[in-house]
Amino acid sequence: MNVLLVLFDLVLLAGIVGVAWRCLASTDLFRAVVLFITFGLLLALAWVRLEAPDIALAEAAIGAGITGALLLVTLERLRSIMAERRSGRRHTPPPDPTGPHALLRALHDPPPERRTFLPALTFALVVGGLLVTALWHQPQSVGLEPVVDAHMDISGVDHPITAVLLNFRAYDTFLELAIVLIALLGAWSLGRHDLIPARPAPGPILPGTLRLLVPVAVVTGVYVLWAGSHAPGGAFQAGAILGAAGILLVLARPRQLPMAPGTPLRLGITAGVVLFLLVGTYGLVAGHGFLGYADAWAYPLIILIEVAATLSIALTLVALFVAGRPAGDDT
Amino acid sequence: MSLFYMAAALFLLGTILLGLVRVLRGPGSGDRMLAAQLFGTTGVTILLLLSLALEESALVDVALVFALLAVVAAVAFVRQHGLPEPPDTPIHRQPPDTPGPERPHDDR
Amino acid sequence: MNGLAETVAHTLAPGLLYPTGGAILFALGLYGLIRRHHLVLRILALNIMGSGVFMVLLGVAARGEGAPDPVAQALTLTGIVVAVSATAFALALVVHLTRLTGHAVMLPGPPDDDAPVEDISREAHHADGGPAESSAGEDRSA
Repeated sequence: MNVLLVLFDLVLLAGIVGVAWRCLASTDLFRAVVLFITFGLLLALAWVRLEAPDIALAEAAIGAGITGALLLVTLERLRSIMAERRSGRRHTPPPDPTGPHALLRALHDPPPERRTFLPALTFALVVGGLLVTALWHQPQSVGLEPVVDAHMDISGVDHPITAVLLNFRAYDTFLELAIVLIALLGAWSLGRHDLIPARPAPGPILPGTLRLLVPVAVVTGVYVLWAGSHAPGGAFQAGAILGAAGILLVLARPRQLPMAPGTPLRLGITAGVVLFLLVGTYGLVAGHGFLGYADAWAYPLIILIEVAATLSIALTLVALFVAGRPAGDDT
Repeated sequence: MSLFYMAAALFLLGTILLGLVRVLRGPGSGDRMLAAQLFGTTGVTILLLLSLALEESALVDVALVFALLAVVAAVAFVRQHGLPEPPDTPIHRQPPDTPGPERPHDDR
Repeated sequence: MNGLAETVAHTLAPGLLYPTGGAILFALGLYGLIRRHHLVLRILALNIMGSGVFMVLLGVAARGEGAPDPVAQALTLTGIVVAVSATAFALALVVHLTRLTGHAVMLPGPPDDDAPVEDISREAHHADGGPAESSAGEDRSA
C-alpha cells in the first residue's frame, strides 16, 4: 500500500510537471489551453493526496468549470478580433473552418529566441534551487492545527476550514471578496462587452444537455454550500459551481444573455462584501471587535454571510466570463 | 481490498499520461479536446477509487463536481469550433465567403 | 542500510515530495514567464507559478502526524478564488489590448518610445504567418 502510494505520488508529480512544461513550451495556444485544463485535473488529484478535499473541490469546480471555458472563449475572441482587423485592410475569404489549423492561425506564438535561453534558465534554476533548499531545511512545526482545534467549540461550525475562513480569519475572506469585486470593476471599466463569439450548434444535444445539467448543478451548488458547516465545502466551492452553471447558460444563449440588468445584478454582486461589512461593523459596535460575533450568533451569521458570498462569487464569475458591462446598461 | 483500489488508481493515472500523446500530437483541435474530456472521466474514476482506498467520503463530492462540470469546457469548445460535419453536406459546398448560417462567426 | 531506507522514506513522504514539486512548478512558470511573448501564455505561466505556491503551502500543511493545518488550507482556498478572478481580469485586458493594437504579443527588449506603431504590428503579422504589409494599426482606428 505504502509503495503504491509513493508510486502514485511520483507518477502524479511527474505528470503535473510534464504537462506544465509542455503547456509553456507550446507554440500552438489552443494546445497550451487544453494542456492547462489537464493540468488543473491533475492538480485536483494532488490536493486529494495532500488531504485537502476542500481545495480539491474548489479546483474541480474552477479548473473544470470556469478556467477552461474562459480560456477557450478568450482565444476565440482574439482570433475573431485579428481576423476582423485583417479583413478590414484587404478582403480575404474567411478561413476554411474544417482545416485543422486554419481556425487557429492567429493563435500561434513563435518559439522564443535563443538569446534569452541561458539567462532565463539560470534565473529559474537559481530560484528553484533556493526554494527547494529552504523547504528541505525548514524546521518541523505543528502549525496552527492545535490552536484551531482548541477553539472549534466557539466557532459556530463543525468544519475547521469553514471556521478559519468565516470566523477566526474572517478578515482575509472579507478582503478576498473585495478583491474579486475589484477584478470585476476593472473588467467593467474596459467598456461594454462585445458578443461572445459562438457558432450555431444545431440539433437537440446542447439544449437537452443543459436542461438536464443546469438544475443538477444548482442543486449540487446548494448542497456544497450546506455541507460547508460540517464537511468539505462552503461558499467558494458553491459559488464556483453555481458560476459554472451560469457560464453554461451564457454559452447556451450567447445572443440573449440571461443576466439581470442594472440594479438587481449590482446588488447581487456586492451582496457578499456589503453584508460582511455590515456584520463586521455590528461586531465592532457590540464590542466583539471588527468582524467578531457573539458566540450564540456565530452559526446563523456565518450561514448568512456564506449565502451572500456564494451569490456574489457566482454572479461575479459569470460577469467576468462575459467580460465588460452588460449591454443596455447606460449608467 | 484498498490495495487493489490503489493499484487500479495508479493504472488509470498511467492511462492519462498515455493519453497525453493525443493532446500533444493532435492533429486536429477536436482530437486534443476529446482527449482532455476523456481525462475528466478517468479523473472521476480515480477520485472514486481514492475515496475508497483512503476512506475519505468527501472525495465523492469532488468526483461529482468533476463529472458535472467537465461538460462546460466541451460546450465552450463546440460553441467556438462548431460541430464537425460530413464533407458532402450542402452547406459545406457554399463558396467560403457567402454570408449564411455557416459563417465561421455570426457575432456581428 | 536501515538509515538509508529511513532517509528514502523521509524524502518520499508527501510533506517533502509535494513541496519540492511545487518549487519546481514555480521555477518552471518563472522560466515560461520570461521566455514566452504571447500574453495568454504568460498568464498561463503565472497561473502555473501560483499552483506551485499552493502546492508548497498544502504540502507543508500536510507534514507530520495528525490532521493538516486548516489555516494554510483556508489561505490556499482564498488564493485560488483570487487567482481565478485575477486571471479573468487579465484575459479581459489582453482582449482589450488586442482590440486596440491588433496583437497580443509582448515583444522583447526595452520599450522604445520613438518606435512607430506600424513596426510592432508588422512584426506581429510576421509572427503569426499573416501577410507582412504596412500598418495594421492605423487604417481602422481612424
